[in-house]
Amino acid sequence: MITKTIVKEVKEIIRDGRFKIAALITLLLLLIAVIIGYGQYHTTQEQYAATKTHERNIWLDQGNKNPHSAAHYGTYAFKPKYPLSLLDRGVDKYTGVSIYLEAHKRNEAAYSAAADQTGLARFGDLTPDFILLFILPLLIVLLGYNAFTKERENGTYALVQSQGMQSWKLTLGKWAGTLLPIATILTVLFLVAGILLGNLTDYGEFEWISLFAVYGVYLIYYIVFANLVLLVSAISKNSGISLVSGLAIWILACFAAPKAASSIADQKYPYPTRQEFATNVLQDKKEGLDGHNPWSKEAQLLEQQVLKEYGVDSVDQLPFNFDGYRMQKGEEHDAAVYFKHYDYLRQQVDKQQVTYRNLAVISPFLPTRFLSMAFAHTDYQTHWAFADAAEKHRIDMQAALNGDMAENSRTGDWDYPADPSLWGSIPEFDFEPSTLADTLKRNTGNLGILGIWLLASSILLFVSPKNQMK
Amino acid sequence: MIKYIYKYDLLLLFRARWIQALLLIFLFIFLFAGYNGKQQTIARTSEIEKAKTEVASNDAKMRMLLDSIEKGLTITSEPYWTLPNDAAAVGNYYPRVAYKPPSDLSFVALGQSDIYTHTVKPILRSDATNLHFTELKNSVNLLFGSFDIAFAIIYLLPLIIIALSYNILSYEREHGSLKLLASQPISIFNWTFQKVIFRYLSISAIILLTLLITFLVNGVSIIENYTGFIWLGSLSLLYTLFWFVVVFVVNLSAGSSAKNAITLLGIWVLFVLLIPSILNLSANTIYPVPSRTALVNDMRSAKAEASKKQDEILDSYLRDHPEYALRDSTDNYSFWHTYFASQKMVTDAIGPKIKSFDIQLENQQAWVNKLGFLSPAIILQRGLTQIAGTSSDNYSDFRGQVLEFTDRWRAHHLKFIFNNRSFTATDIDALPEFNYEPWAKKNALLDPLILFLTSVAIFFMGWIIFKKPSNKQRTTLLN
Repeated sequence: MITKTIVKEVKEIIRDGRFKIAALITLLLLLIAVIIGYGQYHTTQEQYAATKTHERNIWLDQGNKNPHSAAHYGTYAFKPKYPLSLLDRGVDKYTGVSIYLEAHKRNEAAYSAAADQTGLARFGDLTPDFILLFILPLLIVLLGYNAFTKERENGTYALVQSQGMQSWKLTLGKWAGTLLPIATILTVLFLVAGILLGNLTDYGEFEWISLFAVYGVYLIYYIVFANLVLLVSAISKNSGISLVSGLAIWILACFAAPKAASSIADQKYPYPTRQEFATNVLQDKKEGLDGHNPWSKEAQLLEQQVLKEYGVDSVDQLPFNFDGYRMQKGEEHDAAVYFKHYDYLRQQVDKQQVTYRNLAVISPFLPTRFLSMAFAHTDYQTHWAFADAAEKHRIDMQAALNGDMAENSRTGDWDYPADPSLWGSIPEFDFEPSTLADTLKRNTGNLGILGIWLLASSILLFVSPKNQMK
Repeated sequence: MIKYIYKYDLLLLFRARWIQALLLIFLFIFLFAGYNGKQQTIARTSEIEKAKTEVASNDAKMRMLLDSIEKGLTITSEPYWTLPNDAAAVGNYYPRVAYKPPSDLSFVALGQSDIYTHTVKPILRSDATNLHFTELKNSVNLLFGSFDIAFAIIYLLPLIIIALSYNILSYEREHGSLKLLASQPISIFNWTFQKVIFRYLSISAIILLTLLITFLVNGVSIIENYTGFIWLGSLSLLYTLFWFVVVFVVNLSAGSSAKNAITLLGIWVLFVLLIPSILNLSANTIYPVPSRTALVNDMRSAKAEASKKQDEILDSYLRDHPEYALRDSTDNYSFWHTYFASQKMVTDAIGPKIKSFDIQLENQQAWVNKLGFLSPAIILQRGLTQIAGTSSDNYSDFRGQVLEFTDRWRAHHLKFIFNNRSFTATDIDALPEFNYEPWAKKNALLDPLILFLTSVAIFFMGWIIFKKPSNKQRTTLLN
């Protein structure tokens, strides 16, 4: 009986001209989005590889140079792109792609794509995630809004009941009938994406298991939507009301809630502006050791301390270049200042994240969005991890350069040229995103909320009284 | 008959709860949206005030230090290279703040204000390669966007209109009252038209009232900002008109309530979601912005080149700028002489490349402006952000002003540096100041006109189709 219901529902859907057109348009859009995304992914990856090599060569080709000059000259960390960004671009458009790593200063990632586009970019892009997150749920609304109301309007419910059909069986049949077309579109898309990405030989990070994770997230998202739409259909007086209510849910979950959450989170836990942040950092930096200023109070203090430790009375008698040593101590102070201020940002992000999580109660869109981005490595956390890795690389690099200067030259010798082999001894910046297991662990909250949505909406759908259909 | 329609609709209006509910929903949405916008504006104002205070207190300190120096005292509290008797120090450590103040109407649309900065402090070392104009933000917030009045109008308003009026005619048919109606001395076309007009006027009144309340609640004077208010009101009402015309034509097409709702929703998805994103995609494809990472490469190569040829560079720089050559006989060229000579070389080398980013962005903007008429949502977004001063145009104009000021700031100090002239207390007042000039839009009337003409065109399309003698819809309506 259940299978018969499913077959009947699917047949009806397939024969419905409107669905055919909608599904066709959706598939066409998805195809365009994947093709364009694939092309862009390719070019970006090629550029990334070329830029990285070029920058490394510039760094290695410095010749005889003072290590601290090299430190000021610095290098760049470039943000890699990951295969699954083909499906979900996440926040990539809004984050910078390169970080300048120089002495004394932690720089923000610069050059976000959004800043290089017109205001139209804020409407959203034609990418697979846009269709997966916004358009497919809309299709579910259109597929399922009259699942129950039409039985009543056509007077067929009594007929079904007279066949001895139990209510839950009917519901299950309708449920499967609504989901089947959507699940088919989803599966086709992910298979195509998987085959495309699996054939990328030169970039080996693609994992089928992560693709399955994203697939699973969207499947749950659609089940939740189908549950809600069918529930509304079961308790609505007529198809019109059911449709408008379903659309209201869609608009609330996918548009209003994320924007409201963003506004609330930003107001409750604001970031300082770029200028404020820079001023605060500068203020704190001034209060400590400046590696370039041997006359400051802190520098004098450090000098006395070191002289005492080595039992000598002038820096010239020290077994190392005190300038290099002081430079390193100053660097450590700067790093601590940056750590403090970035830690504050981090805390604000965490608090904002809690706001998002709380508002996920009114929108299954939110946990889905966050999970999908996280698995695709296009979430804000991945960007933070990249920025933190770049900062760690910067600190290590400074320590190596200052260390070389302290060890191999005499105090006051600012013209000391390091051996060109020094540049090669500093490793190239490399960033590994978190593993799937770590991503899962980090997103237990989002998984939990999506799970609650799944459970609650399923229970509501199957236990809700459908006696109104008599 | 028209009198009756109005009378009964008005009666229904007061008795039905939808109008009260609608008023409440509108009020809630607009007040929440207005509040969000206002908070951002307040934050911006306070940021600018803070930056200005900081400049003032730094200036006071500079004056004090200069007084001491001019009295011949030795300063030990500050590192010597930051002492303001050196113009290079003033240029680097005592910057002015270049800022873009919010206008009274900025709360209407946050637009690009979350992406770009509003305060920039260009220093002597600044140039187009190292000045950043993007704001520090959680990019998730940028991805989701803000819940502001522009969002309420562009996205939510049409949906409310659709939800209210998708079944004007089909309701009568589904409830069997259509035949009764058809027996009255009024055509179905006119009857639906009157109904739609009546609803359009009611919703327009609600919108204006809600906007009025939102302005009052947020302490924005309508008298002082009457032009902005009129613009905002007319754009909103024209946008509403567009959607009502669409609703009217779809109603006439004689579908069932559900079919009407789906058709209208499809139109909404097309205009509000698809056309903007496809247009954006086409702009990026036709006028692609070059790679920023490749730009980093070019910049690095130019810098590497410059650092290898320091001395030659200074010579050729001085040949181009004889005004900067030392007038005394010391030949004492400082760090800054070589610095600016090589900076000049780097910016000359990659200047055209940086310019190509701006050119492509301008091309994109022109393309989008040209084709914006394809979707009323695009016209509205552009119009509202321009009223609020938060459109892309406003920010790229601000960027231009800051870069221009940066050049002015640098040139001012270079005169001191290259002539080995000390900076004195009397020079403080002559420091260049940044004055923000608000950007003004050209052809402002075009957008409302397009909205109006599109609405009229769609209306006549509906009229022609409905009135055609061969039209079967009129008969199907009744069966």
